[in-house]
Amino acid sequence: MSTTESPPPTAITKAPRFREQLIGFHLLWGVVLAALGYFVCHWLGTKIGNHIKGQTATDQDDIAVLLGFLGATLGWLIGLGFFNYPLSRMMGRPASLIEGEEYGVWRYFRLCTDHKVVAVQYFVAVLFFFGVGGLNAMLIRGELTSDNATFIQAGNYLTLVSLHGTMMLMMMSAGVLGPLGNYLVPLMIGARRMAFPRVESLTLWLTVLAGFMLISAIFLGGFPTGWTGYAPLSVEARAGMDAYLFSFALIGISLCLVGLNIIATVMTMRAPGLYWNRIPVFVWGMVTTSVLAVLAAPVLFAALYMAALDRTVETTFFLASNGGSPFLWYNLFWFFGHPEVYILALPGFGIVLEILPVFARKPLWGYRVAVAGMFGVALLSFMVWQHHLFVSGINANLRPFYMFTTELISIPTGIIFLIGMGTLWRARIRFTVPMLFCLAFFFNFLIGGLSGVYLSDVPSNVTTHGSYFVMAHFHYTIMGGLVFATIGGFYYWLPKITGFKLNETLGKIHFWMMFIFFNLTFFPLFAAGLLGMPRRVSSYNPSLHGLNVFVSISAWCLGLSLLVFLANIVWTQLLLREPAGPNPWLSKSLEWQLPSPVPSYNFERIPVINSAPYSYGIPDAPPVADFGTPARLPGGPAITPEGGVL
Amino acid sequence: MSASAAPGIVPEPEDSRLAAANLVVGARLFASAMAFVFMAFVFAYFYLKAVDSNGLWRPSHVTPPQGYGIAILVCILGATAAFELARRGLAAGAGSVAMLALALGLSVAAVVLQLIAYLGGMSFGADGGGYASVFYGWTAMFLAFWLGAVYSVETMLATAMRSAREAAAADEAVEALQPSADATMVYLYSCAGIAVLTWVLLYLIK
Repeated sequence: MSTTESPPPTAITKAPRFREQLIGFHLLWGVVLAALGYFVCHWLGTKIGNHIKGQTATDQDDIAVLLGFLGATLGWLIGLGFFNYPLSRMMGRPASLIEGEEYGVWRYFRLCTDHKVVAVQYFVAVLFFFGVGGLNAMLIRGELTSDNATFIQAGNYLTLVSLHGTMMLMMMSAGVLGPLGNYLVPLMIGARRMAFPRVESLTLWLTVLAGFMLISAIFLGGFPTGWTGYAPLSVEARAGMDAYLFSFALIGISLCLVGLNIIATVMTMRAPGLYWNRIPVFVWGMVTTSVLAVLAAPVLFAALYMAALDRTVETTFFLASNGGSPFLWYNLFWFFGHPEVYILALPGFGIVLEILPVFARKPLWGYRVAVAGMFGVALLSFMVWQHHLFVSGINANLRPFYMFTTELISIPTGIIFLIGMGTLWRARIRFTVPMLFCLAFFFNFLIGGLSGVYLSDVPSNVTTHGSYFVMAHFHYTIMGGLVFATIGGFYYWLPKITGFKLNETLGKIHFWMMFIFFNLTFFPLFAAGLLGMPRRVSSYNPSLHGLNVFVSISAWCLGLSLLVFLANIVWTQLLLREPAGPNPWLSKSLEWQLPSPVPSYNFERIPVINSAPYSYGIPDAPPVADFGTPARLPGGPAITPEGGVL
Repeated sequence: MSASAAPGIVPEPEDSRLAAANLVVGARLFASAMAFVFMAFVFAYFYLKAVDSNGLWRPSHVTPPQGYGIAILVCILGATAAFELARRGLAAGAGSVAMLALALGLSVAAVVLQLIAYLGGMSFGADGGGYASVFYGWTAMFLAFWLGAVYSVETMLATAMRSAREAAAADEAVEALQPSADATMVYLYSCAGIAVLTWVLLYLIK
């Protein structure tokens, strides 16, 4: 690909009129063609299904539904313009990095190659789908105020739980890599763009489509398997299962491509002087997460593809009656599923370790150890998956090994925890809203981590398996950990992204509500689990009724706290719009040295990096970067990150 | 959100070699991801073979079409070799269109052969046990990835033909093609490796 003829992404010309904009490739046409694609391919699938009638295991027209989803995906991507560039390349036209004109509000509704725009698109999409997943949770807690099924039938309850789990897991995977990763990684490494701008946009629009496809499962009879999609139930389930399979596969593709893009960006596009030991720890968090995404998501994709074949052309990957095995699914799924836990956790580590030094006004303690800890977690996360099978027929001789590796992973995790504590040691802490969320992250993650040690132990795992103890554990790690860190990250970086301050008082109200009610919601569930309350069932022992009512009220208050967050965003970012200034937190990181919001080209000149951005409280510390020296002389050689000539 | 460019500010242009480096790194990462997709199939192969549920891993009537298997492998390896020769010719400043056309022809032939095998050359269906499931799932997935290779080779050929017509100097044509050629080569080598593995596990081993 040659880009010598590509102009720098700065050209601002007259914005086209509304009518001119309607004709083109954007969201409207994406929706229209997706609907068209769905119905055409569904019809085609019905014809094919009739031709081979009697071969499917489920009595559903799964071929039609899955082909319909495929048609919808193709239509969606065609309508958004994703096929234009590949087709032009097929005709031998030169490569380019920019997709059309990129200005005005229209760029938020189309394929856009500005990483900052894509990040904002991600933010809105993820927020929406979180809302859907959160509403599911509120309904679940509503049903659990009674010890027997009331307003939600047992089958529907299972669908609700499945939808909640899958939506949250899917969106949490995209939730940090998408908005914060895409926005911040190029800025933090001194780059103008991501390595593959179109791929970046593709991942966003696939995520959006996947979210809606998953919601469509409700209209296709739901799916009873939970987010784990266990076979053989998944093979026998109704057509809602197809929505699960297809949407999760899209998320898998998206996750893999996001990871690929971030790794390539960090490897090739770092500013001169940004040696590996100067890379911000947030970027390291993104890189380690991306490594997991690139290697684990393909296995998920393959497993989902096998399940789809079992449901359509009657292969028998997961059916023991005809040469397959459901344990194959368990192994493949958890080979992805456990690294997925760290896909969720590692960005949280990156965020809090990036924010702590800013508000502690101290250098990050043990930078290299923190990075090593992240890689340790990433490596070990591939070696623990069978602890999910402790009660599912795993060879008894293998149990000690997986118990050991699972307990081993608490060492690098603990090291990262200690890095945070070391940074806070004797610091003059500024208790801003982002800092409060980071501190809460450590508190919650400690509880989640310690309860995880119990679950890694075979005897206690066997006792608590399938109970609310497990449920409380993973909510402490994922919501108490990653969600708190991510929200802290949003409070920290949103003024940079939009250029407007968030309200500190509302932020603190949000924090205290969320922190208190989160703990009041999930801590009692450890007790509920130990008392034998099973997951995914709406009926439970009447003796647990009072506890469940208490938890439900706490959960609704927790939901209310997120409405405060939303209100803060709407009020300060859309109505009040008080300028934040370029560096309200007095951070040394590269992105804060730029105007807020960041100009479309990021850096007028690629900066030369002098040091890691953590020299807080060090007298006479050199500036982090030199923005005045042209690092890439026009027409001359470029300087590599190592300081040599490319 | 991003602000508009300030008036009068013209950022430095980007070094063209950056895009080339991105492509090669991206291709390597994509090949890694692809390897993990097929690792899942390798796992399925050995797992189901070891479990042999109800003795239905591979019933006696399930035999893969050996002729098609070898022909498809030869086409894939041939396409890879032809592309490598085209890439070397490009680096040496020689013409690459003929070799690219050969690579494209062979890569399309592999697709056509696989489709013919599915439509009429199989002695067993997808429901023929564990091995049959792996065979159909694996080969169909590989076909999808190989279509990506066909696209890459076709793009290279189209770019080479256009460059030969329009480029003012030979250097320009090389500059337009070389980065994509290196990245495509990484992908083709990966596909070829997986094709060999496919043949060994699905066709060679009983």
